[in-house]
Amino acid sequence: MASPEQPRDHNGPQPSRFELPSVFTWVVLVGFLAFFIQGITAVDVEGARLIAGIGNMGDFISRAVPPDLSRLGPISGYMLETLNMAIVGVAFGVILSVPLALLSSRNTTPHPVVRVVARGVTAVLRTVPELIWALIFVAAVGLGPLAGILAIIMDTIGFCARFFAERIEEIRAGPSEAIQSTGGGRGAVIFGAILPEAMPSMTATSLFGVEKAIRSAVILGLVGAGGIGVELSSAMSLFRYDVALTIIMVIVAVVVVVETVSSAIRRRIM
Amino acid sequence: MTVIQVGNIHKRFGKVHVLRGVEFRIPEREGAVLLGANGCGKSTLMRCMNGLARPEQGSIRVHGTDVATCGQRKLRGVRRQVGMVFQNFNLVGNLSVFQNVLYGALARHRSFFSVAAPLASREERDYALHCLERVQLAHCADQRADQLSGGQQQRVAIARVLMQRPSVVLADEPVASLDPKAAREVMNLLWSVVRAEGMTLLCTLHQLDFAMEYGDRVIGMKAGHVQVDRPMHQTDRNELQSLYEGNVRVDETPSESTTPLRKAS
Ligand SMILES: Nc1ncnc2c1ncn2[C@@H]1O[C@H](COP(=O)(O)OP(=O)(O)OP(=O)(O)O)[C@@H](O)[C@H]1O
Ligand SMILES: [Mg+2]
Repeated sequence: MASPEQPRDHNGPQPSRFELPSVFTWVVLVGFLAFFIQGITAVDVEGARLIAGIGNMGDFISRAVPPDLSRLGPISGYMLETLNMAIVGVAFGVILSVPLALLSSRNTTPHPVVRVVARGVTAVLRTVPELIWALIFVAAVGLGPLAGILAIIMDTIGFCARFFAERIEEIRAGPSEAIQSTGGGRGAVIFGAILPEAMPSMTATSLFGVEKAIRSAVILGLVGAGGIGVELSSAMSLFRYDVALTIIMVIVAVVVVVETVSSAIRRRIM
Repeated sequence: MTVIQVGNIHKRFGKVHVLRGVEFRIPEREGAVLLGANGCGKSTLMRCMNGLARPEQGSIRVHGTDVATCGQRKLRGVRRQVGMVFQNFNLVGNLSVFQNVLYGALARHRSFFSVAAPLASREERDYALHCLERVQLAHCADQRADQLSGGQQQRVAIARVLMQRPSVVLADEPVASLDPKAAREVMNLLWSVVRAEGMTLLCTLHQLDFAMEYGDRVIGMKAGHVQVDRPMHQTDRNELQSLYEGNVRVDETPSESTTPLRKAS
């Protein structure tokens, strides 16, 4: 007899040392590999083209440096427009996201069917890329920042309404029940407990929304939806790489500042 | 006069038959203690009593209104008369203590905005401060609720009940997460408030000492039934101890009742 401290000898089957991947894992892996190989061959990654690319990059850099700072004034103006588009778009997007999120959360929706519909709307807004929204709105309202703002609103709703709803669904039920049990109605529960409890997380999500929107707003200019993107694409096509570099530097500086400020705020509220 | 009258309550969650014909009554101004082991159905009963859960069968009359079957409008009326104190306080953590107390006034106002701290009337604001003074936390009025200790948070919850001015208070393990000193403070406060305001109280506890010291009446539950129901001076520690022995949990005890149950509306 083994003493209680000693491990006993087991004669039965041992637990396996390695877990074999499941059939599902195999299917996913093989599928991924197939796509990967097909992709590599389809874009024919050629050594020669990559080497030529390095040469062209050198050419770009030599033409871009030193950056042409003489157009810094107008470029800053376009950057400001980009920033405006992002802020205005996010502000409206966030305001519209709150009711949509309340409709799509299990604990606040008036009816399960409403929830499904609201979730569907959010999913569509999220799935369509912002560049496609921009193309649609340029066609609808014409070139300029208005199209960009509308595109950013759509994109922000897709992003914020989803995360707001997820947060609202995981809020603890206690405070809501406390308000209900004093005789408070649906409105009191939402304004009194649910929105206050979700507020820090919703603010953080909105700040992510701002960061995301600034990057989108830069890109949206490329299809004529306002902002600095137009300037960048015309500088590139006129081979004014020194101007392009100035634009890129301004963009990077603004994005870095916005992200720093936004993460500082987030750290304070969370 | 009977304030709370619970008759033949049945409640199931899926296969688990949680409440199996619970019956008792509590007269006006009585401080009753509800005892029973973990999982015997105490919280479920409490939730049924203010309509947070609906039983499938039976009646729960609070001042004559049957909470088990009444419509939403009547239910809100009853809830205004019934204050709740929860084990985990259920304050809105990132709002001020003052705002949390003001929420008690929802019992008197239709609109949420008349209980929001910036918009509330002078009278309600003064009264909220008065309620905080009664739980000795007026100096914390502007602090965030979640920055207070557990004992303080429960005192804020009691101030919220005072603000509500109900005639009935249901307290579900109000001191279960507090240290012995804070627990005694909260018990003293809760009972003195209830006595002073002439409220009727049903309070779940896990401490027999507290139960025997404070309770006027004891209602003991075991596996979904009421096992003990008598004035505190007619019971003894052995009888209360027996509530925690044998098959006590409803999810481990098969139900013998086979009566067909009416569906909850
Ligand atoms: N919403 C629910 N859904 C499913 N089962 C539930 C639900 N609420 C309670 N139960 C079950 O009902 C039974 C009784 O739970 P209840 O919380 O009423 O017990 P309790 O007496 O309050 O216990 P404790 O002393 O631990 O608070 C438990 O088995 C629990 O799992
Ligand atoms: Mg409980």
